[in-house]
Amino acid sequence: MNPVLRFLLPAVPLARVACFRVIVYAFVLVDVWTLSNDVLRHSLIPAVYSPLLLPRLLGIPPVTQAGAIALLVIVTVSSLVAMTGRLPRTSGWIAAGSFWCWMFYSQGYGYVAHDHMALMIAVVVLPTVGAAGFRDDRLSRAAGWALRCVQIAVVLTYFFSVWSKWVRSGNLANWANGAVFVWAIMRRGSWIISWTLAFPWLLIVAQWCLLVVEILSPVALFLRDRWLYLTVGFFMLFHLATFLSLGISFLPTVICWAAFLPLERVLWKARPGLAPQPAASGS
Amino acid sequence: MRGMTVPMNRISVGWRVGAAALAFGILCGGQALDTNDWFPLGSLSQYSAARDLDATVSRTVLEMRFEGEEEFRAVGISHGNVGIVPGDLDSHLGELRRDPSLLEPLARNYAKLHPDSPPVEEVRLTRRVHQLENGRAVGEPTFDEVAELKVGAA
Repeated sequence: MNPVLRFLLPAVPLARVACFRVIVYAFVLVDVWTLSNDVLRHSLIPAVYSPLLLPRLLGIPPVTQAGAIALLVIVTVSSLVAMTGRLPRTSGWIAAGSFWCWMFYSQGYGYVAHDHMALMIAVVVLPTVGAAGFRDDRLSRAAGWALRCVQIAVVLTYFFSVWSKWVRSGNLANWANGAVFVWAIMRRGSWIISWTLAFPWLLIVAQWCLLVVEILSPVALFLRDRWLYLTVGFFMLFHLATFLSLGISFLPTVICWAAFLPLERVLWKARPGLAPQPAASGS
Repeated sequence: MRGMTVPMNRISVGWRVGAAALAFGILCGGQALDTNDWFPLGSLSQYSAARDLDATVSRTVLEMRFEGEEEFRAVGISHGNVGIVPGDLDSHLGELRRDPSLLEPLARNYAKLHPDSPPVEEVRLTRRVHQLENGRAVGEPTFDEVAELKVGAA
């Protein structure tokens, strides 16, 4: 197998996907019931519906209240079933389709958030893996591909935002030397960060630092062990800081950082009863 | 201890590589064309527009006047208050200027989400504008009225 295929389809334990699946579908439930629960209220304002490209191509009409409730039930039930690992393909595809539809309704009213790409990729790739149990230590390239897709989506959320800055700002120096953070803090900054408005130079330094972090984010795909954990920890702290200072959680992306971690080892350590049994000697 | 590797045939490898390449291509297109329309593979343009150190900073303010009250009261633009977030309104400012009746659903949502509140009689949307000088806000903010609507008069 050539290096590109080895990178795109690494062999990882199926148990890792079983663990990641629980995290993703549990978060989908949190998302539709709390963070993206605007769909029910969007059903009250059909005049503002501005469908995005895919809903337009599929002819998806404005959401009605009955439709929103039905969709919520389908996402909820299918995610609960998918979380258990039963009927992983059927429940996973239903969860993926209904969640995508939900997000089209959440994002189809003007404002489009940029924190859901990795999560929406995750719900699409997970059903392709099929059966995967917590004790399943068989190595699978299908599982590796699914997790790799999520990892790539996570880092591109940062890396391609640099591309977008370039496109929108003319060049990166224009962006980094400007007043983006001043603008963001004045519009939605908490008391934790508002004091920095007195020091615009400090915010310019922070903008350059953010740019460097975003440019370097793909390095996470090639790190292992301690350096990888430090990198994941760094991004967790970064998102905690933006949440406390600006109220921006980026939680759907934060959750998907779990795709980088050896989740099965954590599970087996915490619950030894779920660890695969060693083969009998001599067998 | 690691187990055996599950075999994967060429077709399984092929479609996975193809699907990943296709998604990557669409995402690149979304960035190059700078479009949110291709969500979830559209532009990742969060805070990507440069802001001049001497520009203005505007914030959309929603106000409502309730039955029995003289003055407008500021109402937070949130899902819990009016069913949408500031970004939704910011994306429709032009339409709202042309057609203030689009504010009516906000009053209706507010009433539905706050059943104990007195009826909304008027809705007003303004932009509070701060001037920056070398990255610092200077002077008092000015206000730019976007739209105003007497509820029930739309």
